[in-house]
Amino acid sequence: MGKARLKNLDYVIFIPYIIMSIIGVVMVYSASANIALQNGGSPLSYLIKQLIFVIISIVIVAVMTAMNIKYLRKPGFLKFLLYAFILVLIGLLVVGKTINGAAGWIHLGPVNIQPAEFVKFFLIIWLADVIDKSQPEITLSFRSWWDQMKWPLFFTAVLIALILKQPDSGGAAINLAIAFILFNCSGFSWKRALGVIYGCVVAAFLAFEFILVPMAKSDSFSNSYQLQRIVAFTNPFGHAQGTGQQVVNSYYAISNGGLFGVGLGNSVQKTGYLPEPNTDFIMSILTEELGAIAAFLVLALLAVIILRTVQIGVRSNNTYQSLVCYGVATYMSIQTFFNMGGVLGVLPITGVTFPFISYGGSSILTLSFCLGLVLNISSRQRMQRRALKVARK
Amino acid sequence: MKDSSDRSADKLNARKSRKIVGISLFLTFFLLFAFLGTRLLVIAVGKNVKNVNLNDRAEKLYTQTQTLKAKRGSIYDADGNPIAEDTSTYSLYAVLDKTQKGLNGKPLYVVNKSKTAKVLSKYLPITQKKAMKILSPKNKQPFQVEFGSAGTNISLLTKKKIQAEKLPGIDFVQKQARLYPNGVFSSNLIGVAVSETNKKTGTANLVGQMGIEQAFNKTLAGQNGYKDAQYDVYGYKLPGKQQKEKAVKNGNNVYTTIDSRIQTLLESEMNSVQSQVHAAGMNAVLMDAKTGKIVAASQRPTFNAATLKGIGSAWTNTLSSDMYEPGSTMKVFTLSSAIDSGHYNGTDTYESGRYSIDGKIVPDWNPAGWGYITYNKGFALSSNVAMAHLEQQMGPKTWKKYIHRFGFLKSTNSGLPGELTGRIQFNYPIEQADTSFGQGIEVTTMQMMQALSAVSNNGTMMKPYFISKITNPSNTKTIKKYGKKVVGHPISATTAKAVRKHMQDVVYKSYGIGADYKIKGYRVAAKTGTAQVSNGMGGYASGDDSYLYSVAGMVPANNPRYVMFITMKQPKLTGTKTATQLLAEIFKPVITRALQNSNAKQATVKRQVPNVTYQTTTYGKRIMNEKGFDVVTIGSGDSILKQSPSSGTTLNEQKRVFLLTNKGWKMPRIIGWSKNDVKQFCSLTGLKLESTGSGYADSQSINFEKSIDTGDVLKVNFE
Repeated sequence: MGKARLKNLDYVIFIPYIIMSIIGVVMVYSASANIALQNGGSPLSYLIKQLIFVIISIVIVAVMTAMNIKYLRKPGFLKFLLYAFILVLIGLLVVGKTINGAAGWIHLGPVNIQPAEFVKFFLIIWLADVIDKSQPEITLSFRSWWDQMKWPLFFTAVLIALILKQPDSGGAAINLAIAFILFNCSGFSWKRALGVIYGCVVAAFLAFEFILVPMAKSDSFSNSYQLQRIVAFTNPFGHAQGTGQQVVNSYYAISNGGLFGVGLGNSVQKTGYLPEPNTDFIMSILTEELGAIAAFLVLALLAVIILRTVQIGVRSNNTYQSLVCYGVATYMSIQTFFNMGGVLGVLPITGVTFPFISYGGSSILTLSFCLGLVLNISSRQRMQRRALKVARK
Repeated sequence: MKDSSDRSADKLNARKSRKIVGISLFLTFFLLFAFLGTRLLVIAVGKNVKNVNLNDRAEKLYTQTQTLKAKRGSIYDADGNPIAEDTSTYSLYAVLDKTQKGLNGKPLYVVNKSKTAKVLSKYLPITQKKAMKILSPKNKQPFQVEFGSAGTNISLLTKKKIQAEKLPGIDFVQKQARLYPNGVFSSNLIGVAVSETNKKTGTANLVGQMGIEQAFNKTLAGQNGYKDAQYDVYGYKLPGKQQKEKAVKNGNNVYTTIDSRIQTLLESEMNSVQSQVHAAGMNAVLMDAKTGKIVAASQRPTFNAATLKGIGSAWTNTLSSDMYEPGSTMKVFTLSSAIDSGHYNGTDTYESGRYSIDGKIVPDWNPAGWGYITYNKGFALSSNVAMAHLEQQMGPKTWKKYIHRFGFLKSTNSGLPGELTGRIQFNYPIEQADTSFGQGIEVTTMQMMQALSAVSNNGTMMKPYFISKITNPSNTKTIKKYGKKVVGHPISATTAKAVRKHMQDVVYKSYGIGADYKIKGYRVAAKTGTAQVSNGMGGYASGDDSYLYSVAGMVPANNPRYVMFITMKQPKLTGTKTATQLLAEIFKPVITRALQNSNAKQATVKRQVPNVTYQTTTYGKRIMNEKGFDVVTIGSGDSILKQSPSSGTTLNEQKRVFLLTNKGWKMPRIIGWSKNDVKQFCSLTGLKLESTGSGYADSQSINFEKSIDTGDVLKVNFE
């Protein structure tokens, strides 16, 4: 069966994924040109590491596509992962080494692992499984929904709270978004689900605009690292030397690039003006070097993967498969939104990477697990459809 | 599929709902990406966010403009020795703010205060204790501290030595300064340049404020250049970016005609006379009789250009910017006009003493007169009545014509800032007669020099000039040459010779009143003058000290080599010396030295060093200058403690003689001195000399004008 799934690979997802991974390797190498002076390490070491990540990523995607999903749904395995993640996140808070103001990393020799990234994948497979398994009961009434969902809700809250405490507000927000969408697809009527989803989006926007922004602007919170990012967001040019530095320099990079870019390797902003050029702001550098049209095409490739994933979810009649697809699509969309939101100055900077392009093993590997699972589901669908067709004939 | 058999209505509903939610997610995510893509394109194409032009801002971020300061040109004397030159001095400051860190966290603030204090005390005139105190301020931590006068005017050499100690947090600020090594040295003609901040560009530049510094400011200043370059955050130039650059153009050098040796002598003679009578003002100019070249020019009050001491009361260059009634020296031109227009019969007689014109009296300085005397004698006696008659015989028209021909009442176009043209009252016969003896007409010293050249140069009037050439500093090529310039022929050569003959009578005839100007070995033609000083209110000042005394002399009389003109306004005469004697104290030594120098071209003369110890400083300087030595006075005291070499030593003319005064020792400029001179200077002052190299001094560790004391260490490099 595994081989058959690989043969029926969904190229609408796979090809954009490969193209983006290659662009990612090239851009990580280019954007790291001056990184040695900032963070240490040579551009070549970033290139090699990213290349290794991509190779591992392809292997993971292949394995995930070929494997039988039932192994992922074993209760013991999921329970073990849940407790392991909670323990690791607590452990990180206690002894975690601070990188960029967040205690989110485990250092294993040359590799740094970011457990919060893997939590995203875990949340998707865990909640999808839980909701699918308790499907008949939770659709009966809110009461029975609550009875079934209270513990998953509680543990989800614990995981998100631990990530938020690191502090990794971006990671926490993405996990929250995944869980939120999955819970909303657990069996509510579509009217209620959409009402809650869009209601919360509007509420979040209003809360940001009318509570967080005034709070950040008042002097009493001037020590908060996160609130200062909001201040920089509202008036980046007023804080161009300080907290607004990243956004402002991201603007300069995009402006420098224009439609067609200054040419690969010619970015000025990567020479120290724009911090984190190979991770959080790789899209700024990509725009500067390759131009806004190229960046637009990269966004389009990503949109193809995401929309295709949603499509697979919609087509599926299997609750678990649907939820996995929605979860993965939400994960990638929100992550892209947070990253590009920071790059384009429409959101405060949350320190989130751009899927498939940014440097970073944890991010790529998590995406591979997700994508592999989606490809697995897609292959199953195709084979099913084909089988149906044959049966009809 | 195992689920397909179980199709409850609820599950169907749930699935339907999920599909609808999925479709709305599809649309939402699509819109999200469309929004991000649009925003990206809008920024990339519009290059404008929140009304900020991103392109401009980014360019500004990368570009650093570096101003390349032009070096102000030097002003040289006739021999090419600097009178004014540029120098860079440094001020030191210490950063105390502990947040100042460079790359790799390298501290950019003072880490070890006691070590820093120790090193600073080694190179700067400050004790370790005091430096430590400054480095540890009591009231809240300032960002940086400075070290008062000890931390300013630091020479490049000292700066390099301190930098070699690699003290973190110790930094320097460069300051452009103008150096006037000679102190009081024709200061008002040379002028001063002081640092001014240009309001438009914010850069500080030296700007000439007086005299030549102001008149030639543009050519001296040169033009600042700049360098626009684009850099990354670490200060490396970005490759492939255009670098805009404008080369600096250093200021041109200006060569004057001033002879330093004569000028120095003139200054000390002026000091000597000024200290005796405290005149309200004095002017003295020595000019080449044939060419109009000014060899020396001085005025009182003046100022020390090195320290700017006295500048408050000496902001005018009285050579061209002061006009006055010249008095009897004007008679030279009355006589010239009368002879040249054929109205002079020297042997005719007239009644001296007083002469009435329209009821107004023209008096002689001796109102009793000398009875009936010849006009020849009248000139020698400086009789006003004789001049009034001559004026009337010529007629006012002719006289006025000659006044103009001699260049009075108009600018000499010296180029000096604020040059005045003079004025005249010439309406009534009495006013016309008054001008014949220099009252009711106002002139400038420059005009007098120009007019006198007509007499000294046999009728051809020369424009006085004090600039010989302007050169390009980079290739030393002459850009502009100045030389003698004929500006008129007011009188004939015969007239000029005749006038000089009459001027000799003033000095040599028994009845002449200029006998004080006789010089042994040279025939002198001179005319003295005593004018009443206008009180500025239409009348004249009264009292003994209300006169302007002057003398115009030419030597040798037959074929003049030099013309000298001296004025002395309102001296406080004590009775021991007459004004004429005082003027002669300046006139005779200066013109004699000039003549001797020009005769004995390069032949060096050996002279005995006289003893001036325990004499007043003014006297000592004058005596040494008269002997032709180059005098270096150390300190501002008024009496001389020690001299070197000691009296009786035979020394070549122009060699340095050191006079140590009783207080206020300051470091002279020793660049260019021989090792022997520096040794003498050190042994006299008790400085400890640490010398390197051989030859002539190339650098001095104690800056010019810095206070010095016995025991200080002076490091000098010879090359």
